[in-house]
Amino acid sequence: MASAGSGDEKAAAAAMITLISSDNEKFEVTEATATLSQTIRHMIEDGCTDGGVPLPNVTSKILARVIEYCKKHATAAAGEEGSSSSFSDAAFLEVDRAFLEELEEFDDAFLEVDRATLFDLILAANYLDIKGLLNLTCQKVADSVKGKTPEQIREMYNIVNDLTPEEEAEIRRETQWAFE
Amino acid sequence: MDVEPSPLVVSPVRDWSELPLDALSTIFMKLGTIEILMGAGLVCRSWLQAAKSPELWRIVDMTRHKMVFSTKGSRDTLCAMAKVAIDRSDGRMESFSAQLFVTSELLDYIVSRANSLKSVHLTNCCFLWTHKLGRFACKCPLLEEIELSHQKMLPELIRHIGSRHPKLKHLRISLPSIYLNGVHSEYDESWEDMKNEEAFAIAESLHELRFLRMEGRFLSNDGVYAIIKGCPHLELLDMTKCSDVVLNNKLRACCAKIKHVLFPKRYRSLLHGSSRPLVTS
Repeated sequence: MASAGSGDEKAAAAAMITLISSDNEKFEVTEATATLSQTIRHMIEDGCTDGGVPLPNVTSKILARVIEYCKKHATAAAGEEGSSSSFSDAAFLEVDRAFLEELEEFDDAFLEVDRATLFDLILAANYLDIKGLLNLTCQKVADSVKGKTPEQIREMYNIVNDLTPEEEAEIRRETQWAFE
Repeated sequence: MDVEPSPLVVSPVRDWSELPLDALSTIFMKLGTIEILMGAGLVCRSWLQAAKSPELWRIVDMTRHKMVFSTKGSRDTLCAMAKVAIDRSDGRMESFSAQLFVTSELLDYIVSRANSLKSVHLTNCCFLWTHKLGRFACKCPLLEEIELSHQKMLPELIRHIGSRHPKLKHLRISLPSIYLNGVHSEYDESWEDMKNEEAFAIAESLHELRFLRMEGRFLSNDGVYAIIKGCPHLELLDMTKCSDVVLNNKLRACCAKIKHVLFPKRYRSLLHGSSRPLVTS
């Protein structure tokens, strides 16, 4: 968390954006953090962020987590830009590697949430168009369904099989191996 | 993050069948072809719809899944799966990768339905005849990348492919290490030429090649010199496990203009930073 703090200080002079959750909580974030969201980036470009950005689809609980993710990854992006000019410098590479490892640990810890939170994070990442977060959360789902049968996946994610008998028959014809 | 639970969060249960299509596509992109066709893609209507999106099938990868190696995954079943994947791509499949099970009939199926194929990776496909491979490669108009690893490769096949795809960019014809240390160790000029037949065919017919990987194939320094002369745009040359390649000053100088060179393993892999061409004899 220490490096995230120093990143904030560096960006202190930068413009701040106010994000407003569905339950009306306000979050002040730097532009660098906010623009990890393509949705917000476009709003900033269009100059419609005065008075805050209302996010009616995102609760404060989820927005807090999303911001936590963006802060960490915005610092990472800034670090990458800074070090690209000295790519050949072994010391910098060492720092980069340490930072990437730290980032990976952060991502792993970030994903330790219940299924409902994971679902909400996916929706938020999709709505806010944050590619990294969408990839991260979807990877977790993908890993969890690997090697599972449709029935096991339905159980795991509480999904009702809403396929009609006709549709079932059709996919059985097309993909009979799954039913052998 | 000490945020009080929001009063708006009523139920801890979410309806995963209501994931937006983009999110479902992102999840499916991370699953292999076989995973989608056997599991996630059959869960419910919305997941099935997502699994039918042609975009998802631009890249069809049927390697590394346990079905490919188990007795349960019969050749027929895997070929049937590949056909469904090809049908779902709706002519947009750009990359096809498979291991072991591919038959000539499947190649014909691909040719008749996948005009956009740019990249094909076939590893250890022992049911395929060389001339079928040649015919297949020639019938894919956009092909830029071919991998035929663990495959008996004949110089004629390379020339055949080269005559139809002179602008081929990537070629990979790796062999597993069991073929290492070939039986002939005595030096003899005709053997030297035979060893480099594939290299000479590449040098003759694939002048636009950018990436060439021939790990473990028969190849000696003369073959490398021919390749470098014949393929002036080469950016990567992988000759790891080519035990007949001897790393000496002439070879180094010759390879210096190639950005990435992977010499046989017993030597250190080298990464050249310089792009300055060196004059070679």
